Amino acid sequence: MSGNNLLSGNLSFISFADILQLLGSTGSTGILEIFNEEDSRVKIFFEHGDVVHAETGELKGEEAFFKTFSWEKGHFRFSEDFHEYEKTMESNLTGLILEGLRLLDEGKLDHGEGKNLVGHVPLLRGRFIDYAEIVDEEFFEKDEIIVREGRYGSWIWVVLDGLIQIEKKFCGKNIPVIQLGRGGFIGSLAAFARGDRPRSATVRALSPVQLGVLDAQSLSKEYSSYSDLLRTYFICIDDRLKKITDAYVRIYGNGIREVSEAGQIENLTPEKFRDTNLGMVISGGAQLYIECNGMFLNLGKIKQGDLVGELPFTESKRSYSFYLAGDGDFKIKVFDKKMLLSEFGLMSENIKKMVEFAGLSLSHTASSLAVKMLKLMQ
Amino acid sequence: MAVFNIQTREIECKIVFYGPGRGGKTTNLEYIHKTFRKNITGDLVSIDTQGDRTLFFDFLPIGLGKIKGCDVKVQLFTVPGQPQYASTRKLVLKGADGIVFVADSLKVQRKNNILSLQDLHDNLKDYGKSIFRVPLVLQYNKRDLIKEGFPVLEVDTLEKDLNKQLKVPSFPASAIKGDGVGQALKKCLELTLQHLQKELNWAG
Repeated sequence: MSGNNLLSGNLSFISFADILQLLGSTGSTGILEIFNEEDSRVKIFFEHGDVVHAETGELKGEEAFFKTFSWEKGHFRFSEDFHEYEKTMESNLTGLILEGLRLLDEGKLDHGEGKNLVGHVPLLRGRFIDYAEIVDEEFFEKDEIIVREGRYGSWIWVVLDGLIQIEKKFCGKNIPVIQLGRGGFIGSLAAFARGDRPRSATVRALSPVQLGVLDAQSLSKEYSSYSDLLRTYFICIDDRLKKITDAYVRIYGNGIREVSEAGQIENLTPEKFRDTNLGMVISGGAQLYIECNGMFLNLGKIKQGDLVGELPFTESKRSYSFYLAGDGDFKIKVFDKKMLLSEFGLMSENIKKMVEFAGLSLSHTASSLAVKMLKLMQ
Repeated sequence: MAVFNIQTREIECKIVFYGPGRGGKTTNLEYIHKTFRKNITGDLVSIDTQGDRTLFFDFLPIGLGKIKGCDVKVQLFTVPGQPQYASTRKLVLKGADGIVFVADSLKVQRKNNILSLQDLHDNLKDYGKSIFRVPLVLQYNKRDLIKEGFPVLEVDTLEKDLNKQLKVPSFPASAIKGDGVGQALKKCLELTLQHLQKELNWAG
């Protein structure tokens, strides 16, 4: 905290991009430190107006630098306290800023990414949707309920602006699961397969929210033109997201009681094939488990007709893995992922975005769940 | 808002190529970067935004004079047209000193041209600027497509659609061949420098 403090201020008044431009155009040399609300800190090293190095925690270089673009609140300080560093960056500053903003606009800078703490609800953004596909817009005030768990409805919305929170009831309490920003979807494709079903969670507006209503008719028409395999995939990804969300809420309420060790479960095998393969359950059934640091949590039953293996769009840097414990008749037919992937190319942009987003939600919720398990064991 | 660089005694200003996606903004900048070599000091930096790329580079407007004894350096930018790139667009458009609006002559793009110009108007307003006062020229791009038999809007129609109230200089162009690119840029630079002169004299 030493050093000669030359300039400091609040990010809500002057944005990260603006400070960078200012320091760049004045040819400054020194260290820019950015602090966010969760007390994370990024250090950015300037030499004669060029950014030469950035670091935060274990991240270094551009990775650390770009991460900062997702911070909307916090404060900054520029000082001459210049110490030794390794040069990790040399691109043109304006280019770096534009690249950072591109990543932000494309929703590729998420907060947290599995590192979120207990009590901190992860925020997820999606790619932006084409306005042409939106048939209507709706506005909600802060704290208004957009969808209520248990009520019926199959509308699909996309968040155009603002922040919403997905909550699930457990023992009479609403437990926050995930927050969605711009590009996040409410509702799932599987709704077309299953017809009217009660909503699985409550959706609340955390700020004034602008939602776009998607054209359910054209989506449903497109959905029905897909192969059985692709439709099964949609249902499985949706089903698994529900299983993980339910487990997240359960562990939130019940704590450590839910967790078991490998030795306590019979017939436990990793849910893993060669990277190019997926499996379909052709007989029997299995219990699905999520594993983190040698601890297992039951997610519920996998039935005949379900897909197993690493579902496309759900891959991410994982702190967890899935396991299956099959019953006596449990049999899987393995097939090449390509069968599924070839059909992805034919999907419309919006369906593709919805699938991507469902996959992203799945891996984020699963890593929140894994973090929760880790915390419980400590 | 031009920036004065005290150390180098330069005035840095920004010209932005605005317009509907795939209308030829990038092609304009690529042509300029390729053709006006002696005016270019740095590299062309390209950011891969979906649909069309965001480009920028530094440009020295040789022969257009100095302002108050300072050299003028111009940064040329394109803006990604797709709606999702709001932060990128905001940064690029903020502090723009001059704008070249690249309209697409293709008939199917008629509505998109109008929407994009409206969008420019709204964005400028957000930064406290008026589209009627900012140095602006229009470029009606893709005129070469007439010969290839594509349905193309008449220049009169484009004028009526886009320039009826603005009444700014406009140029038929073919960015891919380079026709009209230099003229539009030169006019925009002249207007921008005049505007700066006026603002500075006012202040000084």
